[in-house]
Amino acid sequence: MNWLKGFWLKIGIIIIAIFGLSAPVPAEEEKIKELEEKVEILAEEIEKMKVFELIPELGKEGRYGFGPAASKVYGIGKGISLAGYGEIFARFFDKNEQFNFNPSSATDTLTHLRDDSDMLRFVIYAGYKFTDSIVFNSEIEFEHAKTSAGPDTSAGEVSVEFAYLDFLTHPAFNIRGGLLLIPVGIVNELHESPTYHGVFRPETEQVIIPTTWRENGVGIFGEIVPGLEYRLYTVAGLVTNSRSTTGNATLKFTHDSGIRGGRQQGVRSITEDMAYTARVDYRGIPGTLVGASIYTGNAHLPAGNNLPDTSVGITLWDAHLKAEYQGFELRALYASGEIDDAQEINKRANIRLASDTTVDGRWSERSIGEKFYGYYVEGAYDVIPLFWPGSIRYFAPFVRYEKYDTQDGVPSGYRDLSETEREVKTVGISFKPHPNINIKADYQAKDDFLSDQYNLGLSWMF
Amino acid sequence: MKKGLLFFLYFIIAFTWPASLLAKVYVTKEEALKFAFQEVDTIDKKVVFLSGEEQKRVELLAKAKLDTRIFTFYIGKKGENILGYAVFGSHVVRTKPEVYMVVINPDATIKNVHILAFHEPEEYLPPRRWFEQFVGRVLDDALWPKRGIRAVSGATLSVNGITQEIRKALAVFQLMLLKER
Repeated sequence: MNWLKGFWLKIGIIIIAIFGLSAPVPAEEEKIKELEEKVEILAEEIEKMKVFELIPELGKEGRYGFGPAASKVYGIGKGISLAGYGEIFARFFDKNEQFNFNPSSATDTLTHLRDDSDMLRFVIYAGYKFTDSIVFNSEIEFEHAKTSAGPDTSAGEVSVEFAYLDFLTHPAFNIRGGLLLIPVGIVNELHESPTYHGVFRPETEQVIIPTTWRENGVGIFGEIVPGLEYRLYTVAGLVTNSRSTTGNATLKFTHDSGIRGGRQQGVRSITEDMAYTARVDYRGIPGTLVGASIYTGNAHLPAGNNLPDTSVGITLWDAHLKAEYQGFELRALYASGEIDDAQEINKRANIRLASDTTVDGRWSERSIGEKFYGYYVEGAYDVIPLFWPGSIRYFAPFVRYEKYDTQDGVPSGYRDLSETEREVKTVGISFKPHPNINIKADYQAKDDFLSDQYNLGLSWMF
Repeated sequence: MKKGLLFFLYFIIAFTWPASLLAKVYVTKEEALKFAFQEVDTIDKKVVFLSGEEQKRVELLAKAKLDTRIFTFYIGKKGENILGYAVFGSHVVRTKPEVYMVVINPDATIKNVHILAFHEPEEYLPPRRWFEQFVGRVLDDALWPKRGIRAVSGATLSVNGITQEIRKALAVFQLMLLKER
């Protein structure tokens, strides 16, 4: 009987089809029209769901120079936002020992180098959007995994790297106050490890520009015309040495690590001396960012060696460029600094003049540099688009050359230590299986008195 | 001391500054279409339903996977002259969507591309100027990031995503609308 059912059904369809084609019954024509209309409505509803219901009221939020993870708070609606980044490395030294001239003892000292691996940074960003125009953002960083010391190593630390409130008043004029990142160089504000090549930050941006550099302050920022961004802050100044009313002061600024030790980092910052810092970036040409920044003001010079509290002027500026074309990437930075009356700092730590015959003349090589500079040029090429266009993966070999000197000039009467002028050549790869994960490997060739090293790194942000 | 005081005053002023409300922009479909076709008299609509076979052909041409088989094209006309075709769509950038409008010229070149909504942090959104490079482009092997299309550092997912969406819109247009004419 089943075949019979099928047979009659087929006949029925044929009859309907014939009648339908030759002379459709008005009721059926209407039905088709009705169906077509329903399909149209469905398509419209689907489009509405897929497209038009996703269009919110768009705010006028800019990017203001921060790294992608750090700026997450700007993108959310009201409430809490959470983001983060981290990096872990392993490094292997070419030589297990290196001789360094140590001006503090006027002798060569032997440093033992041991291969090591460190959970260098683990960072949580927490932000809160009070209203569309009042935003809080912060970064809490764990360095070296633990705050207690290892068997033979120094302790890690937990710090608030930045914590500030933004009052967004106008795209071109907004106010920011709190613990701020000093807007100098490329890496200081954009310091998430996946965003740069190399397991370690360029040394110029560790020593000459002391990243991660932050200080309590207040300022304004915004975008004047599309692509032209600025920031202008007033912050607590640097401190050159620790205060000593009885004997010699211990230096925070040093001959070979520059101003790095002088950062107060918002820890009970002395505000007797203030500094001003400004930055301008232009993103007008697609794929490029070109900009410059300056940090200028007074550094606090506490008492030491029976000399009173005073202050010295300090200025550090940089010019930077980032460019991308097809798979090519270029990064270049030049930074230069100057300290007025650097001999005043030397005096408080009792660094003798080269002419002082009571001590070894080489002691004067400990002098603070009154001028310092650093630069690097870096090129990379992402090969993935050659083979897999449209892939989100990234594999780029890169090379970087850099040179810096923390003692490009010393105050008259002091000697210059030649070993503070350093050259670093880095060659390596960045592999990103996802744009926010960077697996790195590189080789760094350093000056003869230092050891070359191989580095491996794993970094992420979210 | 004086400077410290100045600093303090600066703080007070900054923190009590009246934070005015931001200007809001709200783009409706009508506004977007008006923007896409500035001199048209009428806007017709054509809904394209792809069969399984057609889907495969579109994917082959676009070199990208489709996640929908329905495409609505808005056809801008001045008299009998077709000025262009607009298609709307959305895709997920990381975890949140982006809404776009692609406007195609009758000769299958891109007239322009507009982002109507972006739910990820704006850091991931390429600047407006970046989208201008699509103007006049056709569906070919150069229409990929880091080939004929510039990349944007920090916006890889949105750059790759929107490029694929544009390729799909062009492929559907070429196979389903261009052939019909």
